[in-house]
Amino acid sequence: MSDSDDDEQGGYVPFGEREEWSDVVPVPQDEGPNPVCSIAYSDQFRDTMDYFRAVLRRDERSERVLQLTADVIELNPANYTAWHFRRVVLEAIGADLRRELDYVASVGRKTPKNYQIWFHRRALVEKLNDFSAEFDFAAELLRDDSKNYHTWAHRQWVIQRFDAWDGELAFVDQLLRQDLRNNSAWNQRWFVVTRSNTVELSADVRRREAQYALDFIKKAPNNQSPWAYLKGLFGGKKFDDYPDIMQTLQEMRGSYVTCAHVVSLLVEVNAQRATAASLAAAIQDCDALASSLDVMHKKYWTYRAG
Amino acid sequence: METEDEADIKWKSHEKYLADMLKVLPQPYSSQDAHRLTLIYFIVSSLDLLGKSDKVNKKDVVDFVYSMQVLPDKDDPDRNFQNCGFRAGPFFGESWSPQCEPHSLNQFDQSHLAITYVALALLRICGDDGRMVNRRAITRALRCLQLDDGSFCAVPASENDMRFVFCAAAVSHMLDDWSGIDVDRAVNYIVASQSYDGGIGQGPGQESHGGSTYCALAALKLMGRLDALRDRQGLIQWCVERQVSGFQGRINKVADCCYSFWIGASLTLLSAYELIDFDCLKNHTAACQHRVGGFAKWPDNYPDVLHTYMALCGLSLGGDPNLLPVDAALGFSRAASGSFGRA
Repeated sequence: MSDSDDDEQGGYVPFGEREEWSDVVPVPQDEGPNPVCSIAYSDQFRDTMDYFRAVLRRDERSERVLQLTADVIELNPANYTAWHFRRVVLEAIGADLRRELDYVASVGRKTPKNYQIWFHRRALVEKLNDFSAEFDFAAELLRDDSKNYHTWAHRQWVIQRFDAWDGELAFVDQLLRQDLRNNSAWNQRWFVVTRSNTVELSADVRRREAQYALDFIKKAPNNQSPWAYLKGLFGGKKFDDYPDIMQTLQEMRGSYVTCAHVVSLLVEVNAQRATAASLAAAIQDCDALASSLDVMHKKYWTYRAG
Repeated sequence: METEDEADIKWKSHEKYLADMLKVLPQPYSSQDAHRLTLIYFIVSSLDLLGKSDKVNKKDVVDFVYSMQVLPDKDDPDRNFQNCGFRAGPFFGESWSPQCEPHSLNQFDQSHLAITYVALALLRICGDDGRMVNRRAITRALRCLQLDDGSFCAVPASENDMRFVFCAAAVSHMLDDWSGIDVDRAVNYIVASQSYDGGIGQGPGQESHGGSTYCALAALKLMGRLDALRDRQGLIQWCVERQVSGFQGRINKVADCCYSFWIGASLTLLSAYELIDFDCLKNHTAACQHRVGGFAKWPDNYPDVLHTYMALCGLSLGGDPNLLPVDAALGFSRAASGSFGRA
């Protein structure tokens, strides 16, 4: 017996046996004579949905329906109709939206990869015009899963919607010191650095960010995230405008002899320089990558050399 | 025809797994009840790719799909036009109606854009001519699902991201009717979502991800706008570098067999599929098989119908002779792909 069966059977009373629901006629699902891919619903699931269908049909917006939507959500957190109707009911009964934030937080803790809980949270934050709980809630979920895509997207939404940039770089830095391979955190750093104002990145900021990436590269040279970050910083710009960075790259090439990433970046540098000599060097590097440094991707490096 | 090689795919076990799921999905799938038509699509399309579509009662599937169509309200079509399309299952409580007779609709009875996509795909796979699809209603609904930034929601007031940009493009392609979407805006959203590392995220500023990269590229291909990409070379490299054995979905994540399709198809659309190590990919996919059939995201996990479908699509992209060729842009068999033709 699965865990969910245990939860369901503990203390569940069918709606038909509940006095307070005696005025409602349940509406069963109509799957036709030859249903395709029937789902083996539990009795509790079927029963709860029968009553949910009934209240949708009569458009009842009440406290008991609010609880019913919570019951549906518990059984099927991805039921977007239940979430939508819940929002309608919250509005109609003038519910306490701060308590609702607590409710959706509790659902989120159980199913953090569910799209609906994040949308519901946004809707509440918009209505309350209050994002004060969001960063802490997101940080809490990131403690369990530091790469949850929805959680990071939510932070981005809050930051942009409320112009709340302060503190995010420090937060990202903290996470990278816990796990320097957290690519979501690297992406978030890029997001803050490039979007917190509308001005193009200055040479100083570029250099500062390059140094930040290089520091992490030194801790784990085979970690792709800071290399991607570094390549992104100089995309479109000439690497040669930063001779100190170039110097560091050449030194790294000498020190990290089995690291594909430094050679791969130098291929980019030489491709951009585009002189006969630099292209020849790039081709030589592609051959080295194909034959020994990055054999998994050898077909790509062979193609690149061509 | 079973071929034995180092990567031993147990075709018969997957057929049996899918045939079982076609009848009844076990209780844990209750939490996917709100996306049931997607599950049906994964199973039916898998059987189709395996050349076993004779195991599917196509009339039952077509009837089921049509019964899921959310039509304009019979008395006041302007009241619910934004809800039109297809719903995921009979969970709303509407009466069984495979003939799509006009009727009254409840205001909370909403279609879902991803479901409209799989519904049309299922009709194509089952050889239906789409005659009972209310195309005008769908394109009218699409127009109010698109936001100013070019992205799409799935239902009026829902999250918006690259998944639904793809669904909108695929729906428009299958209907051969692009009046429902502002293509330029959609393209702008996609181009703005290419990240500093070359990959594409769910939206501008978001982390590069195999799923959103596929959705973006497939949408561009269907819209005839692949040339709009800012950095094609960087994207090819990002995709190739996701191969660690199988494919990972993001930098520094674990390989998951569904990316054999998301990334594999992305590379196909970029005409760069031959740059991967296919044998290595196939070995990872084979390791994700469950001993009683189906594929799981990782080796030694429980199988599910999504990963089973994606694994089969991934193998098809590699040219496996046991599978029909899959159309990289639409996501199901090339034989069934295409549009219903002008209305």
